[in-house]
Amino acid sequence: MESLAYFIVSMLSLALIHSMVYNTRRLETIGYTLSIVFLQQLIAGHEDIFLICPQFPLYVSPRDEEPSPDVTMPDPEAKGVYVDHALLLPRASQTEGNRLKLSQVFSQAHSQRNQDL
Amino acid sequence: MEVPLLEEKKRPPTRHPRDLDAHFWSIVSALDGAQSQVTTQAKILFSSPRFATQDLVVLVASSGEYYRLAVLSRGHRALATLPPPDDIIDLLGTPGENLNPIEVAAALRAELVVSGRSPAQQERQRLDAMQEAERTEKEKQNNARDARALARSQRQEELSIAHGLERELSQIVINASDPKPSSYSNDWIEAYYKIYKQIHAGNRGREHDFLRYPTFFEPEPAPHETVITLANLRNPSDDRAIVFTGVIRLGSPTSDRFFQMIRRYLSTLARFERSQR
Repeated sequence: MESLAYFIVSMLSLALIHSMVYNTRRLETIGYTLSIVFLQQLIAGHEDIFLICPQFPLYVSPRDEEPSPDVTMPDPEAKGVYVDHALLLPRASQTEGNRLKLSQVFSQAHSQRNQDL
Repeated sequence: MEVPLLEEKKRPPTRHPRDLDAHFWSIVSALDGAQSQVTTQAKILFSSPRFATQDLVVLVASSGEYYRLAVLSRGHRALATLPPPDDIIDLLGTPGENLNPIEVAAALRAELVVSGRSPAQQERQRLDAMQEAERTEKEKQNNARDARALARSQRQEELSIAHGLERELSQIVINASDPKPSSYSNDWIEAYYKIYKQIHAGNRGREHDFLRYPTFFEPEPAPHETVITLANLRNPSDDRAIVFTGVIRLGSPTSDRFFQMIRRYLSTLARFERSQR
């Protein structure tokens, strides 16, 4: 455990997981608190790189082969699972011509409070 | 996008184990279940064209403060075997089937308590809830004590007819006595595990029975070991099995060392990604 703050919050999370008031049924989902604390520590210092995603859907589908990114209709042939927690690393790159580096675009937009990248 | 880490959780181990045997299996069965599911998840990850550029994934199977780790590489022969069909569900089928949003909203409203209570009433409710929790806890402890007494007398009976290692195992459970206050020391668990392993030596069928070390709890990794060391581990009798570590307890020195190992790996990924931005 990295720091006192994380130690304390891990103990609180364990108390919650074992609590007879808040987790009478010994459910695993209350344990998500502990996972999040663990993952937060793992990515500390790299919060600009990783995303913590509970219930991440991992699946394969015959449609995987069709490049149709805007389709939002249901995919009844998708088969897969929901992962309790996944650490995601989005590979960020620019698709349109911009002479600035992506990191510079982010910094500039941040200082201007501009979210319309 | 890449998915550097997958975690599957199962319900935490029981708070009121009847005896050492129950405590041990409460941890093992949850971790076994999580391990098998996270293995399926990894197979789907590497089957998906979305993650075609990714070569490594860290797998975490956990229950309460206990967990096991594995690192799977794309070249592993485990990926040549399909996950059991029961492990995979239909995802993203027709959304909202059998669910009428108006009915769902009405049901939710019915369950919500709209708080119009005074601070005094709220305090009273809080105290009631606390007393109720204490009562339930006491009742559970009493039940657990009764169950323990029954289990103890059954064990004593079994002891008179058991032989060899089975007898030794029963004796360990009896000697470990009641949990103090709600758990057993690592030493008792290791003693139980040692005999259990001898009884089941040579049994085939459970692919995750292979461990690098003979102990239940994973020892601290050697200083030179990295996630690649874990990715290269193979079960000598079945190279399609994914080798997980022994059990690790969050907050232990072993846990801290593995934590640093994964963190170093993630930092490398982060540095590379940052250099591309």
